[in-house]
Amino acid sequence: MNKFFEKFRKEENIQKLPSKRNINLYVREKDGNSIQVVLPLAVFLIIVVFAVYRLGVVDRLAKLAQLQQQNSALKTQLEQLDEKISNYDEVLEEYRRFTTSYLSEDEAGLVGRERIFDMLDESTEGIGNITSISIEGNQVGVIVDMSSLEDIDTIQDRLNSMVNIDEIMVSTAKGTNNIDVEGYIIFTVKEEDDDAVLASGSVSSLSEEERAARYEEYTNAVKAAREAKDNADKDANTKKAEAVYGGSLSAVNNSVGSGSNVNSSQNAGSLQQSGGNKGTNGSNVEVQNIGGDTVIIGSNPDSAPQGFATLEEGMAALQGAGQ
Amino acid sequence: MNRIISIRELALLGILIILAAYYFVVQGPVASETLNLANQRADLQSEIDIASAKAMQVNKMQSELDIIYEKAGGDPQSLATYSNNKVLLQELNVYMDMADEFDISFGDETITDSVMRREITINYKTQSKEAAEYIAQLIEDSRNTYLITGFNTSCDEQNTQWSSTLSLVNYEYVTRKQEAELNAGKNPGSSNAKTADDQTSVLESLAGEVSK
Repeated sequence: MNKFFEKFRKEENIQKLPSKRNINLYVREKDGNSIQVVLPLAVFLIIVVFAVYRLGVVDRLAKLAQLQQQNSALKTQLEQLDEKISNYDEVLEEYRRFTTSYLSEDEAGLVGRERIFDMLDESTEGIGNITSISIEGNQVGVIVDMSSLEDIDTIQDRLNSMVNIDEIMVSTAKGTNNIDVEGYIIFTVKEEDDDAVLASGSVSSLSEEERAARYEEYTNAVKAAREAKDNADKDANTKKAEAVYGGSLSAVNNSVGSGSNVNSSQNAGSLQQSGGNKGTNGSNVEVQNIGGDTVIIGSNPDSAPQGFATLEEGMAALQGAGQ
Repeated sequence: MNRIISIRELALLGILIILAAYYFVVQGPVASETLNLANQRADLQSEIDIASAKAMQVNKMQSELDIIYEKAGGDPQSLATYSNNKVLLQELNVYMDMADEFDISFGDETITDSVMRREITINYKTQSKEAAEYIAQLIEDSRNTYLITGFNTSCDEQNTQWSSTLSLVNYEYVTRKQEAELNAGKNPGSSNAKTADDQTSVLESLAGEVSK
């Protein structure tokens, strides 16, 4: 009861006394976290730290090491390859020197001129005289003087029978009463099937022995021509002396073989616009058979050496040239 | 302001320091090194590709050279070394001994892949077709590498003289040193010429000497 009245009294004194309408929260803090909370958290933290360490450090360093290892392997591979191609420059130089790799496609496809000359000789042999030859690339144009139009057919047939000849056509054929027929024949020589020329590494198809033999032949022929000419000169001088001193006037004939002698030798040097060498070998002429060809050789002792003490020396130098 | 940092703040600071340290000590260098190594690897791979191609090329060239040497009995024909002008002129002059008249003109030199090419045009007169052809054959078979690109010959009305025009290309090998000298404006082919363009005048003077 007293408490009840006290309550009323307090309410009466409300206006007079300070009052506190709420109370402070009173919570007793726990002294520590429970193991149930700390343990999973610790495990979680350890896992996170381990994962971060593993993924962020170890794996990345491992990847780095792996990359370094791969690069080392590549370096080793490169070193081996470099060692393997250490002679690349030498081989390339040799390759460029000894093969025809420097030729363009068109140039590499050119057929040897010697072969074309042989074809022309074979096709016109015993039929007519060639008065003009024009070879541009692999296209050959030839003008032949014949006795009848039928000869053109024969030449065409002969050309047709040869391998690697294409597009033969007779461009013009004119004549008077079927006499002195002039035929203009054009044909194309196809690239040789046998690429021996290219494989030999040389534009020339001659072997070393063949080349040496040819030079020797030429040298001998020119030498013989000179000797013959010297003898002829001596004879002529003797005759001339006889004519002068002996009082007899006889024609001076310096002809050698079937060639004619053109004296007044001149070897005037003058240059082309782009640089060149011009000369006239108005010389003694000798007909020689060289390699089956009848060759008229103009020999001029005054101008022949031209850079060499003797022709033989020049030829010897030439045989060794380009090496 | 002087107040004690709480444990929580310290912990946060610690984490920040750890993260910063991780970034600067691990992440940054590793990323940079990885990028570097990746670039290095790409370069190495590219070099290996080139070297492999070169190795294959060397093998191919070597085998072709072996065939060439075998076919030529150990002494195949090769390109003369630049500048072979004097020998070339002497040679042509010897061949032209068969001609009654001759006229040689030289074109400009062009160098591609260490090979110099020079166009030469020879006009000459002979007393027979065979002689005209024979000169062409000698030039074609020469050790100084020529390629005959065109040949024209025709006889006069009396059939006594043949006028021929021979178009050919002469090739010579230019070494790297010579090529560098040419590019630098020097003339590697001896003589007193200063530039590659002067090579023509070298030929002219040599031609003059030979003609005399």
